[in-house]
Formats: sequence, structure tokens, C-alpha cells
Amino acid sequence: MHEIIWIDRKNLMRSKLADKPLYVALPDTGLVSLITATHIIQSQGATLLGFLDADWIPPITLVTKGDPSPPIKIYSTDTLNIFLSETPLPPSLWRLYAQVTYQTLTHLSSTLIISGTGIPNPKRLDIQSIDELRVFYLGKYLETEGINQEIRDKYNTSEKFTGSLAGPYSSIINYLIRENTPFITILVDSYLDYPDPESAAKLILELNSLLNINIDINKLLEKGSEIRLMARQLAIQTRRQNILSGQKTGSPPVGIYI
Amino acid sequence: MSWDFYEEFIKEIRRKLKELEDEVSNTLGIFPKDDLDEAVIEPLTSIRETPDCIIVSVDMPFVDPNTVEVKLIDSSSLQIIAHIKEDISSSIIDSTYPKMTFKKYKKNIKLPVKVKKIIRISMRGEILAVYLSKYS
Repeated sequence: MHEIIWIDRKNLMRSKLADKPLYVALPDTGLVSLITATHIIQSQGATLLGFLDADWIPPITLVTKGDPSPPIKIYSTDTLNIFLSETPLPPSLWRLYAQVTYQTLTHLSSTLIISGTGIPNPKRLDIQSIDELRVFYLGKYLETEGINQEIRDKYNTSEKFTGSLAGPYSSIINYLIRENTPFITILVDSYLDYPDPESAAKLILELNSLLNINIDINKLLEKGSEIRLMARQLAIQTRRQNILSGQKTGSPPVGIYI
Repeated sequence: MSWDFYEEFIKEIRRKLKELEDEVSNTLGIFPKDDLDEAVIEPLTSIRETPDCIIVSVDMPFVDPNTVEVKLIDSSSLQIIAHIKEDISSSIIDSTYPKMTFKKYKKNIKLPVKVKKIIRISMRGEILAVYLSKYS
């Protein structure tokens, strides 16, 4: 059982009419997508549109300065809607989460899902500048009517990913393929075991370029050490859930050789 | 077969299970074990194995790189101690902790295989990397 509870219907209607892409974030490799979403929400003064109520959500409440909220929420900025889980979900719930992501997209009348996550690079330690972090794209159904031509052009000129992708984003991608829904997923070099604010900053630069927006990353980089310290526990929990799935991102699909 | 055989067999299984439990707890422990009495933070660590060596990395935000001490306690355990540049308030570590400041990182790391010696130590920003040679 799950239900989206809308708490700001006025802004929900505005978001529907504006047809903004839906950015999907949840804890995954390097907490890259979560740190990215949190920075966008804070720096852009995002509006909380609603939250997800479900009997399968882990029993946790997020409290900021005395203000409690459920862990899975929907926000809106001028340019993006954001579907965010602040708690890691066990692999058994990834498929359900993918379904809810798709429902959220249809509720918001968005035509495109954008997501981003870390790609665990064993040599990440040797990369000291965010300019050197590699970025890969994958996507589908971008020729669908309603997708901005600039987004298509940016996608077409980007470096594409080849390999297996494991984790919650795989469940989301597989579900979107089933529903013929346009999506773009951006992968950025990241630490496997540590929160990686620098990778998140790189992902924001890619979103800036893809969506022609201008989100500043300086504060995120300045707060990098603090974020890594605060997110220690979440990084461990997330890594644990990903290991339990028994899959690993990286190895190329055998089919490409045939 | 004798009863002694079964007793030894059970002991061996228990020993293996304990080893497995230690390994899981070392790599997958859910919560960091900070020491509130000594104001010590347990850092996140990661272990990577190559054919010749073990690479241990330790994430220590705000670390003073000049204070990092690395000690090979025995062939299968490593100790890392380092001081923090500025005192860190417990409020950014865990809101259930009493009001205090943390001054140090410390972690004893159980290695997945026996090692000979430390061959290289480097700091990459606030992340320590320790390279250890394996027994061939």
C-alpha cells in the first residue's frame, strides 16, 4: 500500500503546468544523488509539494530544528521537480520505489526523468580535481514529443556508458523502459564507500549544462568535509543495502561482443 | 568416527563463523563506534586487494595530515590514529551524543589477509591510503 500525500496543491498545479523534468534521488554509491538533491533543494529554496505514505517505508522520521517529516518527499524548484528518499531502501523495495517514481512523474505531468549516481571508481583516490572526474550518460526514448531539443543535443554529444549498472537506479531504469518513459541517467566517478560531495558538485555542473540552469557549487565544495562527516552512518547503511543486492556495477554485458 | 572428531569439527565451524562475523562487522558494521570517553571518532575505511598488496583507505574529514600515525600491530591488523585540525562538535556527528567536542580519529582495522609490511603511506586530501605487501 502506498499513497502520495500532496500538501501544497497550489504549487503542485504550477509544477504540472510548467512541465519540469523530475529529478530522482536516493542514497546510492557515494551518496552522490542525495547530496546533489539536498544542495539543489537548499540553494534554490525548493518548495515541499508532498510526501509518500507507505506501509513499506522504513520506520524513520527526519527532524530538522524540531520540524519532523517523512523520509520520502517531493520538492519543486523553478526548473526541476525532485523526488527524494533520504533513507536507504533494501533491495526488496527497489522495484516498488521505481513504480512510485513513475506514478510521481505522471502526477506531476513531467515528461522526463533525470537521475544521477556515482560510478564506483577504484582509482577515485587519485583524482584530486573535479575537472578530472569522468561523466557518462545513458538514456532512452528521448525522441519522444515534448523533450526539449537542447536536452537531446546535449545527450547526443555526451559520452555514453557501457557496462552493467547495479543498485536502486537499475530498478528505476528497468521500470521506465517498461513504461516507454523518457529518462536520462548521469554517472559520475565516485568513492564506493565514502560520501562524495565533489562528485555531487560535478553532477550539478552536468545538470547546469543539460538544463541550462546555474546552480552554484562553491558552498557545496566548502562544506565537503562537514558533509562527509555527517553522512558517515548513511554511507555505511547504503553500502550495506547495495552489497545485499548481490550485484555489482561495472562488468560489460557479454552481448556487446556478439 | 570418534566423538573427538565431531567435537573438533564443531569447534572449527564455530571458529570459522567467528571469523566471518568479525569480517562482516569490520566491513559492514551499521554504526560507527565512536569513543565518547576519549572524544575519538571512528573514521570510515575501505579495503582493496590487488594481487600483491592490500590498500587501506581511511576518510578523515578535517584531519591534520601532520599528525597521522599508522602502525602495523601484527600481520593482520593495522591501527590508525590522527588528530583533527579543529575541534568537531558532537552535534554534527550524532544528535544523541552529549554536548562535547571530538579531537581525534582512531581505528583498528582487521585486514582480510596476512601482510608483511607497510610499503607506502600517502595522504590524498583528507583521505589516507596505506599500501601493505601481502605474503605471496
